[in-house]
Order: sequence, then C-alpha cells, then structure tokens
Amino acid sequence: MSEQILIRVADLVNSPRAVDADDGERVFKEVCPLLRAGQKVQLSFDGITMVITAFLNASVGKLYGDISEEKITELLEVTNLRDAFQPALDKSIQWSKAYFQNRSRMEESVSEDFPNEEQSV
Amino acid sequence: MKISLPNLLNSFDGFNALSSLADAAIGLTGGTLDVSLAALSVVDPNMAAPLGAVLNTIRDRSNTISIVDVPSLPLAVLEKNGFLRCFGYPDTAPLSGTAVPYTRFSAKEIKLFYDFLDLHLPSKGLPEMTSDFTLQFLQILGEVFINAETHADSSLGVFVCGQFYPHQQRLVLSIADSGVTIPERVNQRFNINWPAIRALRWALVEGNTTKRDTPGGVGLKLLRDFICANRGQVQIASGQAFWQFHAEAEEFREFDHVLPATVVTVAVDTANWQFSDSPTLNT
Repeated sequence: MSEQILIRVADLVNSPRAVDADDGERVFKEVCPLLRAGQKVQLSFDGITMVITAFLNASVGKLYGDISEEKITELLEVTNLRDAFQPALDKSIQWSKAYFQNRSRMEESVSEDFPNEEQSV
Repeated sequence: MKISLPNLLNSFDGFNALSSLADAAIGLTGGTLDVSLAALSVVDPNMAAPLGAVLNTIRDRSNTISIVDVPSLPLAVLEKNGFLRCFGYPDTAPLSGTAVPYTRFSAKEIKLFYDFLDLHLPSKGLPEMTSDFTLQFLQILGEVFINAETHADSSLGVFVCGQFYPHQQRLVLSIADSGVTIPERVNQRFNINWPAIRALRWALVEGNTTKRDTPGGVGLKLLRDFICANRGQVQIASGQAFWQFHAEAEEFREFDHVLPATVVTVAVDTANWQFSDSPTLNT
C-alpha cells in the first residue's frame, strides 16, 4: 500500500487564510491527480487561521465531480481543520455531492419551486 | 437636485428610505446631487455602508454629490465612523473606538478585508480573535464579502461599516455592494421574471446557487446557523426585497422602490459565544 502524501494548504496558498476560490483551485489541481492515481493524501490545514466555503468548494468539493465518493473517502484525509470550520467543510461536501450527482438540479429547483405560481419565461 | 433623507435606522424603513433616494435620483446623469440630512435626527452608524453604496452608484453616473445640512448628532456619528470624510468633510474628528470605520474595498480584496477585521474587531466585545466563536463569526463575514465578487460583479466595490454597543453587548456590521442584486441575479441566471421576494426566498434555500458549473449555496446557510446559535439577527436588503431573521422569527417585505445594492447586516450578541455546531449547543 502506498504511503500517504502530506499536502499542506498553507504552503500551497502561501497564506494563513484559505479564502480565495483561485487558491482552492490550486489545491484541487495538486490533490486530484494523486487521488485519481490511487494515492493516499493527507490534506493538512495546519497553520490556516481562516477558511471560507468558496475555497472549500473549489479545493475539496470539486473533487466529487472527478472522483467517486468511495474513493475520496478511502484516500483523502483532511486534518488540522479548526472545529469552527468543520460545519463549512461538511456543508461544502454535502452540496458538492448533490451538485455533481445532478448538474441540472438548480434549473429543476426553479421550475419546481412554488409550482402553483405562474412562471414568466 | 436636492433630496432630503429621513432617519436612517437599521430597519425596513431605513433601507426603504435608501430605495427612495436611489429612485429619486434615477434619472440624474452628469448633474449635481445635494443630499440633505436636515430632517435626520437619528442614524444607525452601520447604515453608512448602504448609504455609501447607493451614493456611489449615483456618483458613478458622472454626478457630483454633496452631503449638506447635517445636524449635530448625525454629524458626530458620521464623522466618528469616517463616512463624511469620504464626501468632502474635513478629516478632523478622531474615529470612535467603538466604530468599525466606513471603508470601501474592491470586490477582489477579501484578504485586505480580513486585515481590516483583524485591525478593528479586537476591543469590540468579541472573545479573542483565535477563539472558535470569533473565527466562525469572521468566516461568515467572509462568506458575505465574497458573494459581492462571486455573484454581484460589483465594479464599485464593497462598503463596510459597523458599530459596537458596549452596554448592549451588541456588534452590528453591514456589508454592502452595488452590483447585481440577488433578485436580478436569480432572474438573469434562469431567464425568469420572479418578483423580488420570491427570488430572494429561493436564494436563501440551502444548496441553491446562481453560480454556473460549480457547487455553492452554503454561505447563507452558515450565516443563518450562526445567527441562530448566537441569537443574533441578520437582515438582507437587495433590489426590492427585504429579509430579516432572528431566532424566533423571519420576515420578508418589499421596498417601495428598487434598492440598487445588496446589503447584509449582521447583529451579534457579543456575550453569547455559542456558535454553530458548538459542542454545548443543544438546539
């Protein structure tokens, strides 16, 4: 079994704050090929003092569009994330999965929303 | 053109007054606008942020704006949070220690926004900046800020202003942008023509997002969860829609006119350090 590769978010974003979607994309591009290749990855938030969902959607959530949930669960370990940011990560993963399971979910939600009201298109 | 503003309270009426101001000046291009504060006896300091967003929208149409007839109480409030110096008043009054000063950012300056919060939020009644409560509060402010970049395409920037009320142990902060409003964004994204409140209701549903090709729709849910845990209050004023939420109730109302901005105002109880998914939180 391959050894786990450590990726430190703080090194990739060159900042203690993970608050930018472009930075999240940088992390995604680092992590995604490794997971695709079956490599175990530890994504460490050590040294990160702020995280928002724009970053999490782009770095972690987007993985669910490329790789199966089972494989991500097996290979990816997120560590050193402050408790305060855990709800953001949980929500990001939950809604990323929902998004990639059905990419037209938003359009459907608009047509289904308030179905008794007339919709002008 | 001269327009008189009524009291600017952090309420439906306060935002409605700003929608009326924007509507009255809607045809003004390349002109002069005097905004009279003569009839204004009370102003909530955080309302400087949406006022700044609206006035800069008007100024962006090559108009010259002056703020005139300022009574002494509003003068003191708006000098001490730095608002008036952005409209030609002398830079003489010191900033209040309880103010989160009126500041304009580019929509891409979220890192500067966090530097600003690091500078101005200590001493505003919050626990230490590294506590989980404060970190989660800072996180939801970032979620709000980045919406201006992601959703609103706000070329005029993001306007921030707040006030700490030590006796009430309450911190109120407004973040305003004058880009595409939430109802406009929903309608444009799906090529529909929903009324403003219906569009805002849709946008507030967890997981709903107008972003294309990328997941989202989580930031406002986190904001709502935090406010619930803290028993604080949040208001969103955007286009013609107004939403106010606190632990016991929520309210939607429609403004008389379109507010050409999105304003998120967060009021937190600085004595209640419960945060979302806090281990000690039972509700």
